[in-house]
Amino acid sequence: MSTERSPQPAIRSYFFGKGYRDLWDTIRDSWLANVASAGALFEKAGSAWPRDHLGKLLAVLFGSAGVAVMVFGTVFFAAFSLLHVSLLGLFFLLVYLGFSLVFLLEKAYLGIKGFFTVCPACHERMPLPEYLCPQCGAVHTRLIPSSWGILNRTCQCGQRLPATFFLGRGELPSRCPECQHLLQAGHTESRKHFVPLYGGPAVGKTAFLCSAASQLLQEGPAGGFECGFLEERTAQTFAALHQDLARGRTPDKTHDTLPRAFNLEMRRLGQDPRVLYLYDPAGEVFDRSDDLVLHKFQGYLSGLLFLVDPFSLPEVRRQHGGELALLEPHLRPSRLPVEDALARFFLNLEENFELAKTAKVRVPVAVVVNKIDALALEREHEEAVAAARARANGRPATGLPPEDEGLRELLIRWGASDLVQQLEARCARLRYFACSSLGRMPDGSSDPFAGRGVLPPLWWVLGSQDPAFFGRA
Amino acid sequence: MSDSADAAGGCVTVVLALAAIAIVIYLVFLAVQAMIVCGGIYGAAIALKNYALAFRRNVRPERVPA
Repeated sequence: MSTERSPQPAIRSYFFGKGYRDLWDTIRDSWLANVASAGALFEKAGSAWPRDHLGKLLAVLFGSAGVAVMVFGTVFFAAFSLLHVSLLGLFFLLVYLGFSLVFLLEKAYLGIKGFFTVCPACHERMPLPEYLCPQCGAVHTRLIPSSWGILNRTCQCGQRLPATFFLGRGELPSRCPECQHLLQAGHTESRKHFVPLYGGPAVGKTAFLCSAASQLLQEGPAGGFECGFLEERTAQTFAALHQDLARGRTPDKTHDTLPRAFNLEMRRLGQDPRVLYLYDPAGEVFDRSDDLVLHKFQGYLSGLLFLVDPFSLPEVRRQHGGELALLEPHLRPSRLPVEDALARFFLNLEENFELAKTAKVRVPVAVVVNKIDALALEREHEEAVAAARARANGRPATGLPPEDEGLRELLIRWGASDLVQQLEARCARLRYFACSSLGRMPDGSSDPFAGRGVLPPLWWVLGSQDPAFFGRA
Repeated sequence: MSDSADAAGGCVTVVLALAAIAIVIYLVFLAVQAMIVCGGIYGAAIALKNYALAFRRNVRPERVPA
């Protein structure tokens, strides 16, 4: 069974190792003792024989005893060894059955729950992390029901460790076997959703992430969710970003093309905890396909938020050319053509994540048009949505809600028809959302930023994958 | 008459002597058998004791090294 791979810093079950060494030692020692006893008796017989008749009788007695020691000794140790082996075998079988049963139960339970481990640092996905002994720090690479213990195991330092999920193994310190990053219980024992924020440089991904996290923390309790951070590092990152936004400062440029996951834990009474893995890579990752290869989370995506900066679209730039020139330092339009970013994403999935050339991405993709509050875009958006509502008269032509339909038409009008075409050709589940991740134009003032419309795309992506979030978009 | 009486006396003596020898051989045979049985039991007991001692000396659960 696969529970027996590598040696562990723990005391192994008696019936899987020491029992057989003990058996061999017992057989060897008893045989040597028999040989010694028989030798002594034969010696006594030899010395008694030359004496009188009584001596001869004693010699017969000792000689017989010597032969009996050899004969019965052999018979006894054969019989006792057989009994010993049978008992060892029986207990071996019982222990084997015991840990296999618990292991399979645990595996099935975790499988049904959808629990597995994903490292927020290196993005490796694995069934279980490595666990550390809280007393001596020894690394238990496979802390599962095994020959080292069915329900518990004893570490080499004597500390008793739970060997199964059912007994609170998740409370032990753990780490990623690949990069040794320390993990929390929520990195394993939770339902996880992996949602990267993609888009070119300066589309507003970091502000979006911060606003969404902030609003989740605020609005979560109203929906029955208790939200928090899994790691102190994430909490600190959020606090710094939140402070910037609260002071009217836009977040600093993200430089990491391989982002660490921004983990948010969401707990609801009576349900398994949910952990969001949100990824905010630098937009430059779409300049070079090599960097995207490292985004291993694309292999187990739950959904995608694809952010679009309308000021990177040719028609919007043309319409608002004059104002843009004045507001460019504040608006910071993305320089990367949005179609190129999307094309690189699909290309990477095809080359590295086994997406067929003609296949569609099955996970929900939310196209989020950011900076909608800037210039007159919001009014344009409202007009487009109103027109779509009027035209649809309750039955949208594309199957999309009128809000999405209006935004889709707006994108086409803004010269992003290639983008829309590409999205609709390659995405099985697609919706369009408009938002302002800052809530207002950056103008140098210290008034706080408060994102608008950042949660609906996230709720929709999550709700498409998990009933716990359903209907919140 | 005396010749036949002597012959009969001689036969009785021989028979008695043979009987005595047979008894002695039988007793020796019994004694040797008893010695063999006692030796066997004694030897078996020693073998059993040897196994029990070896078992006690070697079989114990694995412990955490001090």
